[in-house]
Amino acid sequence: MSQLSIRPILLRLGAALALTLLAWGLTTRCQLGLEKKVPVTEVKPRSGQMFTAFLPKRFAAMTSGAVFYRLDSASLLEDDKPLAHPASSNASIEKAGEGQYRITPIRVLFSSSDGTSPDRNGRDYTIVVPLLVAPAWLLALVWTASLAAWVVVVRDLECARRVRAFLLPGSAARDRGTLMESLCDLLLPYPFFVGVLLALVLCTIVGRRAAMTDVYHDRDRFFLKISPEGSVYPTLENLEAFVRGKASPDHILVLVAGSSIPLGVGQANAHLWTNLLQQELGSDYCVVNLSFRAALAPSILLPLADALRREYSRAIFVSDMTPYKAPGFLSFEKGTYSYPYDYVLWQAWVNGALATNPARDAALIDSLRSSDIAVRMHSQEQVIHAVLEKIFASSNLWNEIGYRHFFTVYTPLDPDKAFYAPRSTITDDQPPMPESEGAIVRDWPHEYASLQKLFLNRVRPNANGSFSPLVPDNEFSASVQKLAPDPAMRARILLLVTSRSPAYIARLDSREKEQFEFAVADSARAYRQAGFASIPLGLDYPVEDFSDPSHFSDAAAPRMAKDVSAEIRRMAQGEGWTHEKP
Amino acid sequence: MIFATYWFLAFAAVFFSLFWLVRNATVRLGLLLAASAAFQIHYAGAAGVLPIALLAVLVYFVGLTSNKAANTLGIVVCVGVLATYKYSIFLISSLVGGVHPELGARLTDMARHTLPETPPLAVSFFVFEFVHYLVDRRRGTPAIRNPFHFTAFAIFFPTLVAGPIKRYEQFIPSVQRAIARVSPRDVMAGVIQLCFGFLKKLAADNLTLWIESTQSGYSSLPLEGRWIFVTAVAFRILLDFSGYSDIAIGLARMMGVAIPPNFNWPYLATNIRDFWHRWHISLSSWIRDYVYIPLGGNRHGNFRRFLNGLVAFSLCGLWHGPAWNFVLWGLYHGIGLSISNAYRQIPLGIGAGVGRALDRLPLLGWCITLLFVWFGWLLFFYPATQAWQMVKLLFVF
Repeated sequence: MSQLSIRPILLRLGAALALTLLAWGLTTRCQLGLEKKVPVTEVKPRSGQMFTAFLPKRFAAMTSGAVFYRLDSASLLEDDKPLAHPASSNASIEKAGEGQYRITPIRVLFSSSDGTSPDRNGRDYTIVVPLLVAPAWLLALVWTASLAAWVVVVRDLECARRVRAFLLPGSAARDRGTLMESLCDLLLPYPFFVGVLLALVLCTIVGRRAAMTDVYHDRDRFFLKISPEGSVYPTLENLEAFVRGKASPDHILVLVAGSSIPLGVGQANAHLWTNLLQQELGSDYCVVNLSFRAALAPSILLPLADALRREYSRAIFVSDMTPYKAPGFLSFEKGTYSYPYDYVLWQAWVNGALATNPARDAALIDSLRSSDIAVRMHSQEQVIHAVLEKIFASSNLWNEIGYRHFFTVYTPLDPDKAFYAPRSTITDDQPPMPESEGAIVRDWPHEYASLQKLFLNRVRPNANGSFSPLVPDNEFSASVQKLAPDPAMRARILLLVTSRSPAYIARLDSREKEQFEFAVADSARAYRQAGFASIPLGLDYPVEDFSDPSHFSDAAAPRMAKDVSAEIRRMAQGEGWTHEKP
Repeated sequence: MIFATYWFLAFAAVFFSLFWLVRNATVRLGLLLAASAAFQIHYAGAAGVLPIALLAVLVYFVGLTSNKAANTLGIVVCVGVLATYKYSIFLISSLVGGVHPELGARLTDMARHTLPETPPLAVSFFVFEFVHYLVDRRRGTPAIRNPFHFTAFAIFFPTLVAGPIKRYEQFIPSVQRAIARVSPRDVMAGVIQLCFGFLKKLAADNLTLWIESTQSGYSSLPLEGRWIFVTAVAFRILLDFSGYSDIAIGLARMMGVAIPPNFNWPYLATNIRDFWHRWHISLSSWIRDYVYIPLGGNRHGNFRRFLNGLVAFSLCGLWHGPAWNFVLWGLYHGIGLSISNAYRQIPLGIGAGVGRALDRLPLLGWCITLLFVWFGWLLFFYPATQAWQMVKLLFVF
């Protein structure tokens, strides 16, 4: 291209900038559509001073992406005046009122500012969600739009071509491939690969240091958003460090590593049952909650039990189990008990941290050689990952970076948080709302099918008019003992057979209710017969103690702690670690 | 994604280290073939390797002859393999089941029990490459006599799984140059393109998570949210697909093998024809050379041109998967391309007027093309009725 004149380009860019400033001034001055208002209608009393109203579906959709409208920026107005206390707890709203409120994606729970009833005081309640776009982004967007508008209105494609030619001299003659070659001129291969190797060494050093750090030290549990479902995969070293950060070898370690039930889904962090368990047991014990949703004993508990056995000579391991369940070591279907946690087991296996267990080793080797290509590839991937992790500690490095500094994976689980925010900024889950009667009715067919599968179909009526387990005791014992061949280890594993909410059990007929209660109580006996410790949990708990069909609520936490602590004390005394009365 | 697995990381580290250190061309070629075979066996398994192995042997020997009947048979067998593995259940359930539901259900069941659960890895890609080779042989291009070169063409691991679809006349000389000497510039160009590809995949995977979490509430989104959603869908597929191509091309380039680009800024296209010169170039050129032109192309008048375009694009859509929405998507683009080619001929000066307007305002053509393509992605990813609803909601407050 021949000599370029800068003046026309500057004139055009200047015009675009002027348009931008004008548009910016108008939008910021006039606040044109920069916030969304959602009227609160159909207010109903809930309890005490707390009132509730369901919000339209579009509100949840609007705040479900962290793009422009964020839930944590929403505020409630009473007659166009903002109420003072957002994000209050239910108890606080209920008891204190004073305009306290909490907005969730589907409903708002609130109280009026002066103690009057919002459904009768004639005031307008509105939720306002401001548009939150960083000014720099908005400015860039408006500038680009202005420039595009200039180009379209005056048909000035020449402007675009001149800008490109000005910024990249000679670019008209180049294609994209040549541009790539220019980059290659800047990066010489030998220094580049030396740099890559140096960076690899440095990252390995930092990663190995991270492997010895208790990255999640400020957490009581691995709730959903810092678990594999939230794209966070704590390594075996992370989990070990988590235990070491809380428990010294002098403690009697109580390692709770089960599914969402011992995780405390349904319980706020302040009412977490394992924290209360710690209070019940006292300072000789140290309770560590390493449960994960949908995890069971073989995936997290048993590898950790093996890995920590030498360090913690006095340890009791707690998990939950459904009646008469002898889970396999590996399962490759999504939604089953070891997926996606089997990587912990593989890491322990590769690291040589596991105690001898022929059945487990055979299962692992079989999966590596499986004729099912998906199973084989998955297992081989896990082994290679574990080997690379042992050498380079890359997952440990990433877990530290992702927890403390920044993340790069969008998580639908926390849409009101920008996805690049480090996981340390994410607060522990709020407990789910207690179920309404409508939900129980709506979900009954699904829950009944679950009750049949997990409880009722595992026992059958016998000649005495009672019930018997479907699988005979000796067969069941032989099967479940494969999880821990060492009887001494089995004696230190406490399996909780958890019940279901009475709201659902009440819908069974009387015979089915007997069947259900038998399944829960008798399976605990069957586990004990196999050498484990086991108690049923929740069989006689009231409705309020459940937050959903299977998970315990805040109200159940003290009772859970009491029931489990009694058994743990008995186990500790049986081992000769204490001499107290349980 | 196969390239983002630990197995592939270990495989690539070992392979490239050896490939660059070895100086002998024959050893390099052997290394490439062994690595490609190991790649195929690991990801496809024995059941997946067998079809490509058998087909490759057949195509190689057929390609050596000048016998047109054998050549035709080879093409028929290749297409038959693709149709059997990938489309038989779809065709039976749709065509037979549509006429005779019971018979269709019985045949579908039989097919499910007979065929593997998933088609052999990359069956669409290697069948297209074999058909291209045989058709070009029919047209008189030289055969690949060296069986090792042919094997490299058949199972070249960077492009095996998801393309680009190679042309042997360009690929074989490139491999010969690469095994003779690997230039540091090629290595760096490959590394850079690989990095770009992975960055694109990272962005695409995040978009996928966002799209999956948002799509069920699409109708409840505000208007701007729905447009953002459609934009995200459009960029997701571009970044995902072009990212994968970048990785494949980058890996090849790291060995010194040049694979032509597969994407060329497709969302800058100012008309549909331009779009198809920029999007999945290897597939669109294959469809043009081996379906559209053999059907007659534009040599037999407007109506035949229109029909040939529809057939070509329907097959293009069907190639993406055995489902009617892919066929509809192909037809959608076929109709769009036909309109784009013929609108200037609309009488009463309308066509000429529209043409003049678009010539004076290329941005208008760009906007129309972009919207056409982006709405088409809704048809690609969602059932037709749902896609139509989604498009309607883009214009409703």
